[in-house]
Amino acid sequence: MATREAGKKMIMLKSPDGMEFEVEEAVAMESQTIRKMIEDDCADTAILIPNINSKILSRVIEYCNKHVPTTGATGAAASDTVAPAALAEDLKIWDAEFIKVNRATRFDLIQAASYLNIKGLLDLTSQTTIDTISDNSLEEIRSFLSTKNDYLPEEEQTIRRENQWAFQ
Amino acid sequence: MGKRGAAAAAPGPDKPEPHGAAEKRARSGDGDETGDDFISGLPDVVLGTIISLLPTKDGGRTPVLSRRWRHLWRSAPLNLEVTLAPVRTSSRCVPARTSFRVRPSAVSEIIPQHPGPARRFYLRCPGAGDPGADDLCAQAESWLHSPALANLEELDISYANPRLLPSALRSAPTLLVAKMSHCSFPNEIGPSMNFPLLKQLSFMDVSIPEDVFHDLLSGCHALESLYVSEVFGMGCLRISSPKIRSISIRHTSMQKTELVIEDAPRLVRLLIPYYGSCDNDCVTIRVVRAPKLEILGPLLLVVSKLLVSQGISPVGSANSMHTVKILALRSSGHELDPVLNILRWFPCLEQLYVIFHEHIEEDKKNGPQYDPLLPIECLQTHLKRVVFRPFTSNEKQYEFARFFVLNAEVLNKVEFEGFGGYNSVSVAYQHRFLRVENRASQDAQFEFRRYIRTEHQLVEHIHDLSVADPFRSHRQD
Repeated sequence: MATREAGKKMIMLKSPDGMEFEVEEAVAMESQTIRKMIEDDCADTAILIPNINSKILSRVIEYCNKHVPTTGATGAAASDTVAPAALAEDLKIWDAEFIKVNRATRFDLIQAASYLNIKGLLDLTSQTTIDTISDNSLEEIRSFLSTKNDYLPEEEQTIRRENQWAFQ
Repeated sequence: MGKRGAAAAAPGPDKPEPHGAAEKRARSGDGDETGDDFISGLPDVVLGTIISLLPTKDGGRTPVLSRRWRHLWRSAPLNLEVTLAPVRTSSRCVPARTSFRVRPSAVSEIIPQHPGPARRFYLRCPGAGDPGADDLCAQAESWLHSPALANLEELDISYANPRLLPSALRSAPTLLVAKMSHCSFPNEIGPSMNFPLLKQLSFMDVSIPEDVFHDLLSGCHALESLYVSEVFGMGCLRISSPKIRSISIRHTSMQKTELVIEDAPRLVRLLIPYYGSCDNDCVTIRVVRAPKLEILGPLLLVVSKLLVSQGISPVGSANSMHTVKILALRSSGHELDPVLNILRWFPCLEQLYVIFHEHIEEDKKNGPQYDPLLPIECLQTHLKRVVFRPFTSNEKQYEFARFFVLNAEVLNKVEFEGFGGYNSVSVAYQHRFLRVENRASQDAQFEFRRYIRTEHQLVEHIHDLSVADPFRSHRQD
């Protein structure tokens, strides 16, 4: 396992398109999936992250880098630290900027956050979708999500009846 | 992030589209470059996560969207929110276009449809006198036994039917968050009740025997945040918790309660939320071991009794907390000495909030008067920021503030939150009154701004450990 100055443990993450990212272990461990690999000693060399291309992976690392000192999920040292209030507020502003991406990227990020099990990133990236589905009509939701209604009218009626309680 | 924010902003059929909806649509990207259905391309597990975070009815509608969504609701962990009360959104007083929680009658349709497990069960039941209450509790008891509600992660139940539902704690092994209000615990909850994953626990208006509470707490090995508000049946809450980071207590009844923090190696925040200036807190707090405590308050100087007994020396300089950096005090503003005496306990204090309020009982002149020859350590070395709220500019408050201006040597900011509008003339006038020209710290800056009530903000942030300073007001200017 590589180490860098200041004695910080470094981890190599590889994307399927061949890019390599050297990140601090603490940053990589924002991902519960990677944390488990490290804790189970499966991370001696580089970790291949399947299905996440270098563009998305670099954004995920950017997120983890930003969030590593304030979240409680990174082991004893970090979880005891409390960020100054200004920092916590900055982080919210930073998150809001971070998520200003096109829809394709946002869904790639949701998928990456889910696979890597990074709760904060999953919450952040899926919130827009949750807001979209919450309390809008089905037509509005389909339109927002570009989802085509591929049911036959009678099929749709059947399913509606099955979940009648949700339409009352 | 306000999860219901957009729901409240959703356009109604007869209403003009509010600003938020257009913004939301732009962000969610319809009329987007390609119009591709990206979301349907996500794996089932991701869509399932999204569905389980949706309000109950919204989740239940998703199978009708398209074939891709047909079976997802059933395989996603259930989020069941049931209420008998008239439904409103949780966001600021905006009524929802449709209700997102379900009525009890719908649950009998949902439970057989869903194989479980559940993510969350939320139940709001009206007062014991309500004709539907007993019936609802009996139904809820049977729901909790169904597979649909197995392995809950979140439990949020409130009912005034006095007894705790016997099955409420069935999901103890999987619970992450538990919130119980308006109920009473039985005298026993069974041997060795374990909550290995529970991180947040809230008890509001709960009656619980002392030993039941302590048994329960000793089974919470992962607990990070505890809120107890108006808990009855206990003379003394003793807390020994290896991972706890935040404790909040509110107790205003006449029945005195003592909170003893016996051993909390990771405790960072000890909050005593209050709702109004008449809110007496009748709790005595004794801190035996909390070596990481940084944030404390607001302590009501009249009745709050904070006893610190770290180390073995009972009194004197050892009876102090070097770790506390942010302290909030509630004071009538009439006596400075009690405030100064309490500051001696916190030699490394960096930020102080002084919350003024009218109180029928004025701060008593108990304890010694401030001795100018015996310096207060934090004023010389650490105190950088003092906030006065609300600052009504009466002579006593000026006296308070002036003391810090003239004696705090490393101060870099004093903030006044008042009711008036401030302009350059009034600020110059304030400076003269505060004797700013004689300030002890040349670096000190003075800020005057409008007062915004923060009591409710404190309650909202009780479990949010990402809020680094829970007393700071989130100004809306």
